[in-house]
Amino acid sequence: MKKLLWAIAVGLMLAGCYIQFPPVQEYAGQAVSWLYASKPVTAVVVRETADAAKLTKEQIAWLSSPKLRADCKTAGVQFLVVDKDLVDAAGKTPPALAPAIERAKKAGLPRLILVGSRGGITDYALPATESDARKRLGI
Amino acid sequence: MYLIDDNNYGEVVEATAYRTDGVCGCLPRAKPVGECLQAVPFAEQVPLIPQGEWLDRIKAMEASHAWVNDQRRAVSAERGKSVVKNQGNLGYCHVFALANCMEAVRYQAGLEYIELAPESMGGVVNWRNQGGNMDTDIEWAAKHGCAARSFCPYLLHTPSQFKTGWDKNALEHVPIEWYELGRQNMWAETVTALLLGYPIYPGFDWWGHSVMGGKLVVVGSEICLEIENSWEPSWGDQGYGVLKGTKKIPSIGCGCFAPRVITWSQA
Repeated sequence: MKKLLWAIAVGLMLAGCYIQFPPVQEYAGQAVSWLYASKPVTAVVVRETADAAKLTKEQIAWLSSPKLRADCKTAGVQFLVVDKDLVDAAGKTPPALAPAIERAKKAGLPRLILVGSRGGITDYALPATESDARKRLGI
Repeated sequence: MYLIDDNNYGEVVEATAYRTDGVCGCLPRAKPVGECLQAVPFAEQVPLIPQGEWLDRIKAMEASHAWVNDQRRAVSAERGKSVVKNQGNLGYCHVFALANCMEAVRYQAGLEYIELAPESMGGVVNWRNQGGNMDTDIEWAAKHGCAARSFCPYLLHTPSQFKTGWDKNALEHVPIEWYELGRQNMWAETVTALLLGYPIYPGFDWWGHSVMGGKLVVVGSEICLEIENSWEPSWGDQGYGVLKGTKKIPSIGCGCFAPRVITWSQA
């Protein structure tokens, strides 16, 4: 019975890691941190700037809220709002943002992409209100 | 609130002449509406917000302090120093307003605040102290960009006075795409752009001046335009003023633009 419980516990931990972070090998050196849930460290809203009119007034308001940005900063969450065609000085998609932009394009714009503290990426529909956004961002 | 309307606008017109030794900052546009290479017509790309929704949307923006000018005030508070610039006696309002718009778009993207140096865009007028056309400015900025303040001392407009590498740094801050407002209805397009969170880059022929527009405020029952000027924070209400009546509508003759995309850079 004891063995079975151990097997289930270990199995659940491993399954949790696989669900959020498929390339488990990359985390082999961080076995202890597997026990803890990932938290968003970067939140990227990817959108087509020209489609701003398709957003609701509540969405435009929270996307532009200085208070929300300040609270993100305090919580250690980098909050970014980028156009899908964003480029750097070299005329290329910024490498750090490329995975998020790709993910959002596939999922459909506008999209909220969360990058977890261990590198996992998840994507969500753009929250409807500031309070929904705060819940999603964990602030 | 510092209101500028049909009754007192002479004060700011006089002040412009006095500050810049008579150098007019914002000249009539160089090309006809629709021919600026870097800008696409706003009203053809973005559906205008019906007038019946304006007040409701203004309230929503107000509740979250989501206006561009409120974001600018938040940055000023955070850094303990106003972001409002001072063009001194340079006739460079046209590039100061442009740089303000670029800083505003950087903030909205989530980039750390970097003070940009409008003087680094003086090449658009051959590094002379003179006014410029806003449509020419944005075409020039799309090629050359705007350097960070750390490369360019305040109010010097000769490249030999800038730090080595300023031109390379300028290419990190390039406004790539703009909307051009005013094809259909200048005021309705101005209101729509601001309600959607864009900063605007308007010129006013009655003033011979260009500023950044970043907020709508209701005065009595009238919707007015709040601007961020480049006459240092001691001007108006900590550098901001409100245009009312006929004075609030950007001039077709000078142009009005809204930046869409700027290059991504932490430098």
